[in-house]
Amino acid sequence: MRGYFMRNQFRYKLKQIKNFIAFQLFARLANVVMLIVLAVFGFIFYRSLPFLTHKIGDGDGNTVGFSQIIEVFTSGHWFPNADPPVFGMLSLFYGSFIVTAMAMLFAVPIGILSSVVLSDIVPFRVRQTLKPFIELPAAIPSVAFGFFAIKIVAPFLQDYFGFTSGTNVLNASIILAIMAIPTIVSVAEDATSGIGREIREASYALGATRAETIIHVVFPAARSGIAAAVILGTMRAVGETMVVWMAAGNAANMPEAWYRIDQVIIGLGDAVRTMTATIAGDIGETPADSLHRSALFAVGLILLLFTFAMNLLTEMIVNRGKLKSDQKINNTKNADQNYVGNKNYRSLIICAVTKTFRFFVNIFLIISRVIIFPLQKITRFVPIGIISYSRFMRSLFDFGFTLVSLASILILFGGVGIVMIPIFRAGAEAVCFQETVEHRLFILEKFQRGDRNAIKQEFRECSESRKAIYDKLKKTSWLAPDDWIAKAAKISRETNNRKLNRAFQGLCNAVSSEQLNIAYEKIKEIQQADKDAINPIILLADEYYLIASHADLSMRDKLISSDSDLTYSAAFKQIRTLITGVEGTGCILGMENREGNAHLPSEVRYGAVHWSTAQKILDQLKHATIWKPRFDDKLNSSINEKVIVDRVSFFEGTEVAADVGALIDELDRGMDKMLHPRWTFYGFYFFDSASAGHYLGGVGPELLGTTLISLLSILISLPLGLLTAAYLVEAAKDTLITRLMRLCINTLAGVPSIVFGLFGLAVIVEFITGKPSLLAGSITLAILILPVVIRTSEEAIRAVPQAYREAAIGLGAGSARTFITVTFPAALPGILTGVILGISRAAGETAPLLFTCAVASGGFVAGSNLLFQPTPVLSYTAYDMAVGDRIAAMVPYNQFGLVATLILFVLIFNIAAIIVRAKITTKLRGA
Amino acid sequence: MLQKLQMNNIITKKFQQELGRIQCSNNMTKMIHDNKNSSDVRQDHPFSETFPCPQQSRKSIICAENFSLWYGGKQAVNNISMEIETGKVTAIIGPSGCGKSSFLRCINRMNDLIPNTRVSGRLIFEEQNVYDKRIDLVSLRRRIGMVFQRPNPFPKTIFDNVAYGPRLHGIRNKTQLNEIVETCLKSAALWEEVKESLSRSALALSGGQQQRLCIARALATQPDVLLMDEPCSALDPIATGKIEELIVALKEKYTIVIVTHNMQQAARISDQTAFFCLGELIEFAETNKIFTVPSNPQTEAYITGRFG
Ligand SMILES: Nc1ncnc2c1ncn2[C@@H]1O[C@H](COP(=O)(O)OP(=O)(O)O)[C@@H](O)[C@H]1O
Ligand SMILES: [Mg+2]
Repeated sequence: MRGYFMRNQFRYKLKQIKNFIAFQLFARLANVVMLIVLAVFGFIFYRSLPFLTHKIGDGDGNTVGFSQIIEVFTSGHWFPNADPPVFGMLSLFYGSFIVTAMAMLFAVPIGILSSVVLSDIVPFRVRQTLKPFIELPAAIPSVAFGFFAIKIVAPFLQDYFGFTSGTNVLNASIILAIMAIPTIVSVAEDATSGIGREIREASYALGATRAETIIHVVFPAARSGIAAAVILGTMRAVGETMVVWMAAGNAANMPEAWYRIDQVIIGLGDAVRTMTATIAGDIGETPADSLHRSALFAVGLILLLFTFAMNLLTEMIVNRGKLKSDQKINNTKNADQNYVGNKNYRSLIICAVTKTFRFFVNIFLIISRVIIFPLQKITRFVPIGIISYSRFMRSLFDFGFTLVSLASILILFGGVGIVMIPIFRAGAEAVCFQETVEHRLFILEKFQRGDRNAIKQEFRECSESRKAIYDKLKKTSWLAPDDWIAKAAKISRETNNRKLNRAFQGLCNAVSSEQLNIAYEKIKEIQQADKDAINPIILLADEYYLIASHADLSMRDKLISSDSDLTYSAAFKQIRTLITGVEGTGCILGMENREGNAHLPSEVRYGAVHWSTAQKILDQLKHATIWKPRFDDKLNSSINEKVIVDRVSFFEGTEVAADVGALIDELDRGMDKMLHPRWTFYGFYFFDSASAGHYLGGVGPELLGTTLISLLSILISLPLGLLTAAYLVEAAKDTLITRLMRLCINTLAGVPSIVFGLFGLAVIVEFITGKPSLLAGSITLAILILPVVIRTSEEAIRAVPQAYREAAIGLGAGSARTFITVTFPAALPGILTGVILGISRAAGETAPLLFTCAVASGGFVAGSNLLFQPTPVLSYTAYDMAVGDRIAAMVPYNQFGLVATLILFVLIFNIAAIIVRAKITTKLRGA
Repeated sequence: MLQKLQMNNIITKKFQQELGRIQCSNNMTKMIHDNKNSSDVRQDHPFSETFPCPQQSRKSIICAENFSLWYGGKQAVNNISMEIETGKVTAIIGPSGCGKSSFLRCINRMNDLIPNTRVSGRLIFEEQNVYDKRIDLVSLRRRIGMVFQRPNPFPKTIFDNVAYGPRLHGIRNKTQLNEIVETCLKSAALWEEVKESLSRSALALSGGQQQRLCIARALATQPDVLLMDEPCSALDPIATGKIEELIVALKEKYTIVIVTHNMQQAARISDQTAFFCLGELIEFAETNKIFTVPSNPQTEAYITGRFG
């Protein structure tokens, strides 16, 4: 009996030790979150130190100027590459400010009204179904919005509102508003529905209408939640990188008289540059240890401090009541006593750190009280009975208010719809389209898919019908003989006969028949002198002479009309380019002779792969857009106007007019025979790699990159996030440590993603992996999604009924064992939601990957050092295709297809999360 | 018991005196109200029918005729017919979940806020059917005030809470508002406690004070009827005592319908008592009669504490 007891006691001790270790482990891992936040702050600060301590005029050694920081806040000139560089950030601050302020101007009223639609106007069941769908747009990657801004909003603003540039403040703020509204609605609605039914009933029972109840009771009662929603929305807008980078025009502008409202309004049509966009845009061009890069880190530091301040502000607003109460003071006191009582040096340090920390927090609280005071007053003093109190007017106001609120929720969905619909409509064409024989050929040659003989046969048939076109082109090719020259140059490089080549060039450049004859004689002479076997160049020369001898060569450099600067040669070249292509453009038929030209880029070797593209180019071939001067009476000067003319009319009255007309006619009539269009579903779009610039092929490498990087980042972040969440729920009470931890998590959640990019660059790329790589990107993203994982896991663990735990503990399980065997499995579905949301968040991010991982184009990552290679990812390639690439502009379906793929990828995960959530809820209800 | 009753009487008298003092100012505001608002809750309509209550039409202000209420498919109130007399305190008692609150909330149509509710039968307030389509809810609720189970002051100042109703209904004059607030707070026996701090947040008051504030708030729209849904169930005994005294005092001017869980309370303060069970009206009679010689065995069982 005694032995049994002893052994039991031993076991008990063992269990105690085990629990102690588990607890310590928890605590240590939980501390990691704080370490990460410290590291982010620390490194960004460290890297911006050279800039912050730099003194202007230090350069020559004897003049010691004033500090750099003064310039930052006093100058609007951002000329980092000038000599000496100027780092005035006022224009950047202004850019961030104006874009955010404008966005909030749209977003706040719409967001708040939409939130009361959900909480007060529609029935509860409708609200339950709508709420997740309102939160869904918040998950759509920002690069998709930026893409929309560049591709659709900007041209729209230019064409219909007469802005010189469509990428400006207005564009960026509209898009930012659409992005921020879901965040605002979601948080504000939590607040408005959180105030409960009772207080509403009190108002209705006094004879208030719905509008009056909402304005005079709901808003004031929910004001702290609404304020938090507005702040969160603001933070989202300030921290946003991709949209402003793409849509705001990126010129560090600000109106001279920025304090004058009219100047600011006029400035809405101008480009600005925000802080985030500056970091994103400039870092690539700066050497690692330059002052410029350090300045960018300083910008990051300012962003970081700003978000941190905003976080404290939210915390304060939300916990205003709690902060005041005595409970807080008591808690803090207890926590302090615990630390001191421990007599542990580390605890003492923590105590000191937290004390200083609290000191700063207090200072901040005092300052911010001044800021939020008016905010609270506004809602408290909404004057009651603004409107006339006749019964009719009250009903009318009620009706109007309801209508406006419903309209605002329509705007919310409409805004998202307007963004999504064009993207998906154009994107669908990437997979489901009328493919031409060129596409079948490309797929066969690049991926060895398809019936080889059938396709080759089909292509031969097509080639037959194309022959007439190529022949006509050749017949007129004396107008622009540069492809003859190119051919000869290639041959001469092989045969090394430079003399002949030069003579041939002379032949081609001849602009009169005399010159032509003389040059031809010269070639014949060379041939005689060489007594060579017949050189291919000689054959070319014969051929060219045959064509050119009947032509009026002098026409080549003449202008097609007196008021145009287009020569006949250039006009013909345009036609040829549209049909056979040159590098970097699209074409209808592609080059004639493909056999020996495998080295050429595919956009030259292949014609139009989509029937729609072919038709579009054909239309360009038939109708040219030219700029014509027109004298404007009002302006009293001539302005250039776009006009659309028949391309054949360029050649009117010349000897080639008939040829060109016939050429275009032929193409118009016989294009389907030349291209054999056929509906197809290109499912391999998601798996195929693409040719350079995504002219042809699919998004396989990008999809793989995105998948890998998001899986990897969740793998890194999950264990840490889970343990932190477990610690927050199970082990820790409401102590100073947990409160600090929560602050850290909230801070982390609010840090602009571009700052994570900076951190990844400064720490992971520069110290660990050495160059941008999959691993560096994943670690960066892992930090970014950590708050998502922690929050959802915490929610899930907290939702496990206390009774489960008590049952397990009652059976003698230790707290660690209880967690592993009972709590964790019960919380698993909820944790799964966190995982899914984390993956989708990671997949949609662009800014953190800019300097840590992404490349614009490249193949599949593979091989043993997979983790240490950079990879293309959907989000970054979407950005890259939206800006600047001319090839990509020829294939809008590929651009939009890529973005649509990204959105789908993210949305699928989010919808999965919604479904899992719904399942959990029904399970908890016991259904 | 006797002693307690005497105490009650004394206190009531004191209140009556006080009410007498403030009567004149009260009348003044009432006059202001009346010329703005016709006493008819229904918007004028050529075909408006009137429903005099069948038996004692002059004496009763609210009259239910075969009235039923459903939440979705679930019937909460089953075929109730009863008359509530003007100037009396009517208590509704019964086990929880028997539809007391549901019935009470029908009288000022608060159940309209709950989706999928359905009613049948008639509920007549001053000769007009409350569930008539043409009823103006705002005027109806103004004339039938309500006090809820849990005190629910707005997160505003004490003054703004009481002034909320009058302001909605169009009184903007500061002196008038001051007068109304003072009168109502006095009627609710809260004036002495808060007169120094009218601009403090109502949330800073104690539970009992909050509930009296809610009563004052309800009085401020000059209702004829005051519905009270277990007004004391969230309060401690002392606060409960104060509210009870207040109800007895208010009886002078208002018709009061009070739902209560507490049978002693019903016995102490009400003139008439209705006993509900499973959505049905089991017995409705003078309070004295119900508590001394209940005619229905079920009522007796409930009152003597054998069930409920
Ligand atoms: N909003 C509602 N939806 C559906 N059923 C309800 C609702 N409110 C009350 N009920 C049901 O109606 C019945 C009567 O409720 P209630 O009037 O609150 O009872 P009491 O106030 O007498 O305790 C109860 O069975 C309750 O479940
Ligand atoms: Mg009830």
